[in-house]
Amino acid sequence: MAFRLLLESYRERVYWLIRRTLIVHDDADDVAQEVFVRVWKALPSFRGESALYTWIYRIAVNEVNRFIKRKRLLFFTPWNDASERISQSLTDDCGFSGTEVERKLFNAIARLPQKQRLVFTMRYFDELPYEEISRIVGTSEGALKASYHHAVRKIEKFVKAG
Amino acid sequence: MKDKLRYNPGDSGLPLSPKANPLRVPDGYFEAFDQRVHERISARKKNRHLYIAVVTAAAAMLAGIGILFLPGLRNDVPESEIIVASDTANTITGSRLVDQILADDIIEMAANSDTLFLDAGLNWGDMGLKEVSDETITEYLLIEGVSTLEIAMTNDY
Repeated sequence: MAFRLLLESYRERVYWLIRRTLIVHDDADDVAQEVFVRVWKALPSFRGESALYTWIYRIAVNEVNRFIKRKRLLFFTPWNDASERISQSLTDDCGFSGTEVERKLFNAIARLPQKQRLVFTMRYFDELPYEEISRIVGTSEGALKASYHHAVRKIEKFVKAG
Repeated sequence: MKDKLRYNPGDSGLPLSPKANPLRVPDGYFEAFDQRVHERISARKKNRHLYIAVVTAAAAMLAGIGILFLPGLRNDVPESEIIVASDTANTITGSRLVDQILADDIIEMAANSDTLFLDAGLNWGDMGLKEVSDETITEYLLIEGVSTLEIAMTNDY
């Protein structure tokens, strides 16, 4: 019962964090489900040392990283090379209904390194404070600010070149 | 510092609101999401039961194999010693093997000789053995590296 409540409360937030990072719906769906399976398994060991959503976000970030690593191993290609596949998924048929500018934004996000992409997503879309992101990804706030700064510059460069 | 690093989408003509979400999900996706998660959990439970069954069966099989071969494994044989299987399927160690070979040689010599070379309380006749001559024994001992002096001394016994 508690787990069902937890699912209802966090499924959309978790899904969108993953979707904005991985962009492809099928990938995001698979990872989001896996996140909640892991939450279900680990729930008895949750000790309340952090906020529940921080804990779940941490699991989600780990699962995204695991997914990207698995894809790399599977296709023997750097994740950034998958940006073409992601670009193709930014069509109306594949669950994208934005403007051309928004398409450019997501194409630029897709080309970011893995960690920058996660940090950018949490900061820009979810508007999480650096302190919270720091607790989720286990990186210092300074490093996160630098990571976000680099991500923004890269996105700007990509969009302007575009 | 925070504000400086905060991305201002307006600078690049990007969507002004970070909340803008052009990504879409299939209709009813989130309503069916819970069900899919529960199905995945159920599948994992089944897999776990299967895994436990397989591991238990494997452990039982290994234990069975261990019990079958335990007598052979119980011999505390140093690595330097060779384990040889005899015709009777018993195993003997290297040091025992040397003793066995020597005994076999002596018995073979005894069987091919005319005179008994040793009487250590055994009734060779009962074993179907023939006597070994002194010359044969001397010859054998010389081959084994025993000096003639030692052989001469043992003749006194």
